[in-house]
Amino acid sequence: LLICVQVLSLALAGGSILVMALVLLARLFRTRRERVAAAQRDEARQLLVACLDDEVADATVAECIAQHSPAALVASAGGLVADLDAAGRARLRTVMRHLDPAPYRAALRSRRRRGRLSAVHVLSAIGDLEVIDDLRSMLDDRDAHIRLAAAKALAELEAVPPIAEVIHKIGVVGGHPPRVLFSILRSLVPRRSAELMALVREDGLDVINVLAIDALGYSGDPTLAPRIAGALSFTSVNVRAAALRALARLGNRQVRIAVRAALADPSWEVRCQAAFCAGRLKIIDAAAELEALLGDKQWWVRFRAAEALRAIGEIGFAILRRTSKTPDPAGQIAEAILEEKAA
Amino acid sequence: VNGLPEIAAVSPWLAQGLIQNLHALALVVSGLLITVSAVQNLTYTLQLFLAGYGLARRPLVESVDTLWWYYSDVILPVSLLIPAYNEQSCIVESVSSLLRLRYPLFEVIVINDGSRDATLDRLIEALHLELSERIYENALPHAPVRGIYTSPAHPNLIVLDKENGGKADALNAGINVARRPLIASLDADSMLEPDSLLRVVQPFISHPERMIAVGGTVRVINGCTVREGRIVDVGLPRSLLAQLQIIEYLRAFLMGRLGWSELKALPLVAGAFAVMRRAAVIEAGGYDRDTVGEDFELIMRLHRLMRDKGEDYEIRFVPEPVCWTEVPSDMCSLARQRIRWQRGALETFCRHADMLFRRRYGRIGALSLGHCLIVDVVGPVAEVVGYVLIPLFWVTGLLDLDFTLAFLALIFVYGIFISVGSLVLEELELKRFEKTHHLLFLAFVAIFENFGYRQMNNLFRIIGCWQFLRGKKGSWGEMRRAGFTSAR
Repeated sequence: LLICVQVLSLALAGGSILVMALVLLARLFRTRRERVAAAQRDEARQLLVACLDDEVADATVAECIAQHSPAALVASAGGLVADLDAAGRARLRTVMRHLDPAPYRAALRSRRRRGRLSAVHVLSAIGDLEVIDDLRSMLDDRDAHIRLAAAKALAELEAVPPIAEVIHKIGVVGGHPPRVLFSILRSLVPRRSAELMALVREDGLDVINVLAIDALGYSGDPTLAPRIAGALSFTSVNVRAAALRALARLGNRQVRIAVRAALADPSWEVRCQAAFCAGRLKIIDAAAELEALLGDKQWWVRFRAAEALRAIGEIGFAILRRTSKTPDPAGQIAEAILEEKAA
Repeated sequence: VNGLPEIAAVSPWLAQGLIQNLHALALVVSGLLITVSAVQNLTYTLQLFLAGYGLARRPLVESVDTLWWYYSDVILPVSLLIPAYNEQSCIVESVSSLLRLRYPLFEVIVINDGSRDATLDRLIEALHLELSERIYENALPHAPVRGIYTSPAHPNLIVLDKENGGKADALNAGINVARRPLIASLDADSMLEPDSLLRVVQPFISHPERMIAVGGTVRVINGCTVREGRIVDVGLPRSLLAQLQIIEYLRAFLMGRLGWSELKALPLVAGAFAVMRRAAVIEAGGYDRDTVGEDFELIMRLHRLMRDKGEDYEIRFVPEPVCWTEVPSDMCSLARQRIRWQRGALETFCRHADMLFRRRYGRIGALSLGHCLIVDVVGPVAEVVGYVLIPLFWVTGLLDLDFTLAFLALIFVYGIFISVGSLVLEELELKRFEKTHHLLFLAFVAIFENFGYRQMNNLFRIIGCWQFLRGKKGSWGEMRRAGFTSAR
């Protein structure tokens, strides 16, 4: 056994040194290759930026694209996307359509995750009608990250299949959706608010209700508020809290009765959101309920109630000034919020 | 043994009995010491392979532009907490660098823990701070706050000036003042890469309810070129001690943390770069003010809390986001730091020893605390005792040479495999060292750190054990610093 220990230690140490030597050798070759690739990327980026100008003729663009390495173009386009607005991204897609999508469509079947992800990015940059089916097929990929990338790309191309199907395919671990899914649904709301509204059902899954309500909150359409307020009667705390966040964002004061009722919700998370919502919507009628919440057990509820009182104007200030004279937690939070305002 | 001929002359039977007993004793002692070293090495090997597996199947790393495009509108807001005690040499640069982070929603909270130098004055002057008011929840105990400063030029910066109470106390004060759902603890002598925060919160975005803490990699800034709060060139330090610590940090983070993270048994995320759910930290009672290993202790307490409640949770390590930190380049600072770390590890182990091998605590009790028992409690003592006893047994003829060689092979030769293996992982998966000759140099450092540096560290750990047994209390760890601009 002792000899085994000695031999094993020597073998592992020797082996690791040998592998290190090979890794160093590989590094020597890679450094040169990477330098060339970096130069190509820089050149490709300059070309893409130049091509984004609407005045450049399509034929010129096609010629330039043909002269550059597709890999470098794709990498540069990926970097550019984040810096562009919707119009810029649309123009970038027009430029990238000069690339032949065939190799990238084939790459969607690659065994390497990195290869499949790159292909999704390229096809998303090309954005042709032909590639939409390919991107939709990637919603069934075994890698969650790639499924999300495909959904994000489809949302960008306004080609998302039924929303419930997308949520189902992306999957929600333990009922908790990845936050990118919120972003995807928010981007859909201008065109598909009716579909999202239809997803909000008392007998539906909590996670779908939360996702749909959150997205509707970003619609900027105050007429949706009364229907969202209906979710305040759902049993799920997360759904009720999401509804109040959405109502605060939509800014329709017609829902004030429902918000006032939520100020007495048994869950502190909901009371906290309701106080925040009451402040945002400046619901003066809620002053008495907010005053009661200054003495809530939870610090965050007291804080949001005090903030809301400050937001609703003189009535709220009068309550804060009166309460600040008492030594209890309600008085402390009222005094602190008045001091903060003064500072 | 030297007196045996005399004893043999008087009583051959007694001498023979003595020799047999000594021989048996030497066999048992050396067997135990070799077993401890072997178990320690097997644990490291397991971590190395798990880390390799984890790196190969980690989520795909997107470019920072793509991350921004994906996450910027759904990101979770973060409060960055920077406890500072006598950090006048680097605090302004550190805070300025944080204010330039690429992240949509964050606030920076610097907690001046009663510094005796000009830390606060430098901040007031450089960032145009003004005394202000801010409501905060007194959820965690801490020493009194003397004042809160804000800056009109930087609306997301808050400086909290409080009486001295230690690092844990300062962090608790910061948590109280924080209003974001996530808190990130950072060291004042550390520097985040611009996209680090965006990358480190990714697990929270993918698993928003389950994730309670995530740690990133800490790397050595000594030798790097820093310009305007950014690392512009990753270099190697001139100091041999700092060079040796590069390998040590690689082993600790890339191998140790990632290995256990793969098994969902991560016992520690470094206080220098950790993001945690604020509500969970408050529920656990915040940082313990009576230990010097406050980060380790808090993570163990979070594990305990979640397991006791039977909650589905996760604490994870992600290798890509990097926080650069200045490491000690002189022997005194290094000794002080390592002694503190050892005391912190022992304090945490003793405080949570009841979790060891208990079914309710699953992998945390078996793997994380078991690892702590072998590596932090028994390991250093066994190794130092082994250096003395095993060669002594061989010299006095009580043991064969094979025992000594096996022990030395486990310490020196197997150590090379672990250190070089970590460097190989780094180069295969992360490739942070840009220059080939730096990598070559580090390969030599990885080999030679096992001859001298490892033994010296063990000596510091023994001193740490001694101080722990004597009940020495913790304080801020002070280190002689060069500051970022002169990191080289």
